[in-house]
Amino acid sequence: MSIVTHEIDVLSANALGLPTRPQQQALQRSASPTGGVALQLTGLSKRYGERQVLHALDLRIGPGEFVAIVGRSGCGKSTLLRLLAGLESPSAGHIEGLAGSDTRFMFQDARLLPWARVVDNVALGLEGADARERAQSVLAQVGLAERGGEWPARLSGGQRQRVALARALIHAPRLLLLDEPLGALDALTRIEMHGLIEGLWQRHGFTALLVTHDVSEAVALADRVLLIEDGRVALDERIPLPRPRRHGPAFAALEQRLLERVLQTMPPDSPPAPPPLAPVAGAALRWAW
Amino acid sequence: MTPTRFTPSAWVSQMLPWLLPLFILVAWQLSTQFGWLSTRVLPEPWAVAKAFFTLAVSGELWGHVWVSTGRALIGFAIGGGLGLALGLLTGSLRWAETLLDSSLQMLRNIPPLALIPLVILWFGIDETAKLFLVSLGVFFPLYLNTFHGIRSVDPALIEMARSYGLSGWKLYTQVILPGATASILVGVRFSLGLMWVLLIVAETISAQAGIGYMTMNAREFLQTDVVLVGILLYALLGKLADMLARGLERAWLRWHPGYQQS
Repeated sequence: MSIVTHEIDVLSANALGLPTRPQQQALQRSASPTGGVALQLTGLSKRYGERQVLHALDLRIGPGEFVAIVGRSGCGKSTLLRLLAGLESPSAGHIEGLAGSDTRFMFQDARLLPWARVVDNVALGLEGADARERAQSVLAQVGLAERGGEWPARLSGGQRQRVALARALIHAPRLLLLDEPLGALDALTRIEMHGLIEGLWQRHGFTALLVTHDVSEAVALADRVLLIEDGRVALDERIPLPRPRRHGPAFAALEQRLLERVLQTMPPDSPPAPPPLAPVAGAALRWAW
Repeated sequence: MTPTRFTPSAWVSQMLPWLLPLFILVAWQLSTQFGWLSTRVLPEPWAVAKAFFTLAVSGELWGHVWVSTGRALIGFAIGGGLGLALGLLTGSLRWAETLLDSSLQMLRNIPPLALIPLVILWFGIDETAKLFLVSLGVFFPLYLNTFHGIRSVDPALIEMARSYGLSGWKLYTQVILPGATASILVGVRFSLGLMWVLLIVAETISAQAGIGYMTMNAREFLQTDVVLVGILLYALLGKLADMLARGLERAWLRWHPGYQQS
């Protein structure tokens, strides 16, 4: 049914001479996987005043690769992601392979517009009469087909992040950047989200960069785990486990080894630092959600 | 033995808030009837109701209400419109804030009613003077709350919207303006309250028509019942304006859990 009405829309738009090509391209893209971008980072540096956050980072990421970036708080992993998203500009060095509109960012907090219905949040930034229809179909992909008409305030934390995921996917990104999007969710919801993200990544074929605190999450999802330490890549490890990954001895051994390596980065003479508090989102302070 | 709590039925709990006003009304009626209270000081409620009825039937009342409401709304439209426009301007553009905000903050500290002598000198005692006073009074609550609303839109949402390709007018209408709405509506409610206060004062100074004129006229003829009708009308209109503002909140802030009806 929806396909038929959709074709009529496109036809009538053509008859009126309206620009529909970008829409059609976007549709084709979201319908069939189109491989992700390949990235080449050369001498990438970022400093805030006196503080050097990234030190001449060199990195190659293959098309369609799923890379997890782990490291302690303040090691520069989020900064790297924000540079790739174009939210900030590097102090030195450059990034090859980026095409602005092909990159989408998933934030730690869902950042949904509280005054827009779920379906309109997903359709944010889309043009055309069929925007809502497309948003609805992407919502179905994240398992929220029934909730399109609700206000974001009515959703749980996990559902909000799924809406944010749908909002990113509708643009058929060739690079998806995920900045600890599951950090605030409970363990069961996280496992559910892992399956969802992996499935959508396999289906759409985008390149994915996931920043996470959770080594287990990195091992569950990534082809490759990078450890960033003081703004440098300290470890670059392939995860050879077959997908879908189940928690078994091989998984546990790999996770253990990576975790030990991450913990080594602690300066030997200082006492173990308390776990960092989850950052309070500005939104949560200002809006009585 | 479980302790039973007093749970009034729905009907009783709905009527409970009206119990005290009803009691006062009955006490008032009785005390004037038995001559404990001079009708010169306070006429009996029944006389007020009769005066209201007579004025309503003769059509005189509606004329006055119409004139007063017209003044209030025109003043609100001018002052509130300007407050909204300037608040959006200074809230959105840094240079506009630097240019205008400190001057406006200085003006804000002058109570509008302190300007009455000057206003009479400028505009005489005709319509313009009343509209000026009302406009000036409603301007500042709307200006301040609009400015504050625009400035307190969550920067994380703006960053998100920009990274999703929104900019300029689209960013403004889809993110900034909706984000400021709650604060702007607080300004509207403050303004509507001030609107009637200022109108009452302006109409009591001098007027040829309006509720204020009606009550001042009645005072000269010692018609205390008509004076009370005027006072009650102001209360009623004020309540109506507040209900209107709350209606707007319910319509425009449906998404906001704080304004949702259960």
